[in-house]
Amino acid sequence: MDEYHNGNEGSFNSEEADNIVKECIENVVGGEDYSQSQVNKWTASIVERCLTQLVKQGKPYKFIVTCAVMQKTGAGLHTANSCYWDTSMDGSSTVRWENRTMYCVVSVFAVAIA
Amino acid sequence: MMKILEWWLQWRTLTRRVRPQRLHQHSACPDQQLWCNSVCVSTTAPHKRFPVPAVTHILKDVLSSYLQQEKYEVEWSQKMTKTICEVIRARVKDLMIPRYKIVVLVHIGQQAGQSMQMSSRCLWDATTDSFACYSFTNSSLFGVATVYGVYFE
Repeated sequence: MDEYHNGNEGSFNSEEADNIVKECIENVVGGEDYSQSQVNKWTASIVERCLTQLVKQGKPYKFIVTCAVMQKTGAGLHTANSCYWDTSMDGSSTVRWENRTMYCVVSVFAVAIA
Repeated sequence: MMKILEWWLQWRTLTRRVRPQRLHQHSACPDQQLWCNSVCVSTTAPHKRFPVPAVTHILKDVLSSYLQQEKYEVEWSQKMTKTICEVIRARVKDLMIPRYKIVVLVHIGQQAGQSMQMSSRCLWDATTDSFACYSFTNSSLFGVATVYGVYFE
């Protein structure tokens, strides 16, 4: 039975979000090799799982979760983000994961409600 | 004669249709005119919504101007990703959309025949929040910029 917690007020805990995201990535693509036919399903699955787990914290946030999965061919990829928000309440977390055949970059942005 | 007039006036008062009167304008939503005995459902609806076409135009403009004739190089791309991010944020802020928080995400990568997939999901209020996205490619690199606008109630 899944548990839902009544979260406390305060700023976004990015360490906890990191752990949640890493676990979601491992559960979806851990042990898999890059496959073009499956990557669409993987990215959708990763973002949905992350969102579900983040909501279970019960905190008053709107969430934006993005996931980029890229095949390893030696090509470079750079990612940056910039936010205009309340730095005391809102927060973000970015997780970079890789295995032998692919890179996965997941970013979570949490925007406080009221 | 006076009695007939009196009765007629009384009859008219009793049978006159009662229409709702416009008593006031709700201060929280100046664009809406309320009638009495009605309820303003949303007192926190945004006065100006996130302008997706205007933001998409900004993304197209910034990505094209910064990346048009460029070739992928590691250090240059690293700096350019951050610069483009800051420029987009500043220009979206200049649109002066009240009570919207902005999140800008930029990816720049090398074109080397690799396969890639990007997805995003949001838990938000779909009536007020939105996003704009634009991607640019040339023979050497690709750039993807996304801006999310989240309404602060």
